[in-house]
Amino acid sequence: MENKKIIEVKGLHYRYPVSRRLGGEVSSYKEALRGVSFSASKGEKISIIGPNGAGKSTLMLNVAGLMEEKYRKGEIFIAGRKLNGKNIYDIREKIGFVFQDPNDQLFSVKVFDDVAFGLVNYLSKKKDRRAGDRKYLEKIVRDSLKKVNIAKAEDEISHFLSFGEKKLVSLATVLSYDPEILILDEPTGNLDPKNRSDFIKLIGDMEKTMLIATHDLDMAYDFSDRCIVLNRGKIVSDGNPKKILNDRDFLTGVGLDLPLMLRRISDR
Amino acid sequence: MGGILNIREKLIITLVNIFFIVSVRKGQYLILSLYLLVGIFILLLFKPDLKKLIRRVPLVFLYPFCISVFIPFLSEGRVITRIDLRIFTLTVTDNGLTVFTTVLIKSFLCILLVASLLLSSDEMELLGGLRKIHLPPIIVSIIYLMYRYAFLIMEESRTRQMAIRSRVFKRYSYSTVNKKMTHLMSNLFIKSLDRAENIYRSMESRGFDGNFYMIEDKKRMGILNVIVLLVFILLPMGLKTIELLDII
Repeated sequence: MENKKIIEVKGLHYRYPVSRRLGGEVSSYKEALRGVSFSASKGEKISIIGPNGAGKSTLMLNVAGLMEEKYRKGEIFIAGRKLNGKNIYDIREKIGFVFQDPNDQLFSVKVFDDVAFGLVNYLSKKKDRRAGDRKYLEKIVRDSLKKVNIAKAEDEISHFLSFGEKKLVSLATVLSYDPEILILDEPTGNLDPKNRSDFIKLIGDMEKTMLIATHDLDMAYDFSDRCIVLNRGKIVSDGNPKKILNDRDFLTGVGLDLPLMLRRISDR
Repeated sequence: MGGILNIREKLIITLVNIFFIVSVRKGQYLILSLYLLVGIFILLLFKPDLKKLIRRVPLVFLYPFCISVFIPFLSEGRVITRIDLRIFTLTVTDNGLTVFTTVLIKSFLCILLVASLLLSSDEMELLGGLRKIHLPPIIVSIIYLMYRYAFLIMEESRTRQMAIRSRVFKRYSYSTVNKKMTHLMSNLFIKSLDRAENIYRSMESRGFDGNFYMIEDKKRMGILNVIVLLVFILLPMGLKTIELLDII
């Protein structure tokens, strides 16, 4: 793992508008993030854990530049560049965001169109002729699907895939444009044990910087290099997952519990 | 499915013929019957599933029929008959009847053409075809998304209906069912808003800047395709000329 910082978040605040007065003026807000600061080195795999409503998804959406800037305070740097409205499209090229629900990610009818979507957008933006080269796109799509072990699915209709397959295709949709950073929201949520372990192995083999929001503490324990614990919009712990996830008192205090595998040992 | 033509040619033939059928003046029954002949040729060319076609055409035809059923009573012209309904009297005019029959025949022909196009092509092929005939990308993309999410909304609706049914322990009255369905609809509406927001984010995260770039299949047109295309464009044009010159 290189020590070069690829993600830097400094004093990030984010609030959601909750109610509006007549005329559209926002009258009250809900604070989702309260001064979050952290950084990630190149190749680092970070799990972000916390109870429901802790601000995990909001943090990740902000890092990916997918939240409204006007409700945000603080700074986000991706590969040394400060995220703002002007460079957002350039910065997004470095980030692959995989949503919790694959049905949000797979909006095209056929798998091929979805996997090629991001790549075509970036190539078109650069006025690269390959954006219209079907053979080139087909090759990339096939390779991306092969990487997630779901080869020959390009002509399938997304809706009729199983949930596990949809998750894999969702990952392929971002791998097609080879981003440096992968942001995964609940990657193992709703997966059966076999698909879960396959998915963890798959992302574990990838040499990319990863931010993973998860409730799967066993995965966070096994898989990540670092663990950030969020509670009520604040980072309450940041460090070695083996240390953090072994501390039952701390975890109970923030509305979590030991990973299942450790619970069995501690209950004996 | 298919025949010799690709989707672009099928779309062009269908749209050109619909355009000329719609432009036929009222009461030109002979011209319309010639269009029916052309329609049958197109049908043979497209090779749709005939069983499905026979089932679908009358079903869709009911729609224009219900809309146009009042035409004979509303148009001006020579009164043919009067229907006394005590409260008011309906008059049927010759002009009304002519417009009515023309509208019905035109609708039937258009439905026949559209149904044979739809039944002889894959949905995705059709969307690609719309793009190839240079329909604005945003419209094609909206149709694309609607098609994709129709399945999801149906699934959501089914799940919610099951959730309602699982907690129903007696026979519901009609009004209660209606009330529950209204709740279900509003729930689906909120769900679809939520879904739309998430989809937009997912698109944005993959570099979507408001422009849809569609990947096109660049297949060359064969000489036979060109000939067939020309024939089926020239045929309705010829019929239009006959109509305009009052040859028949």
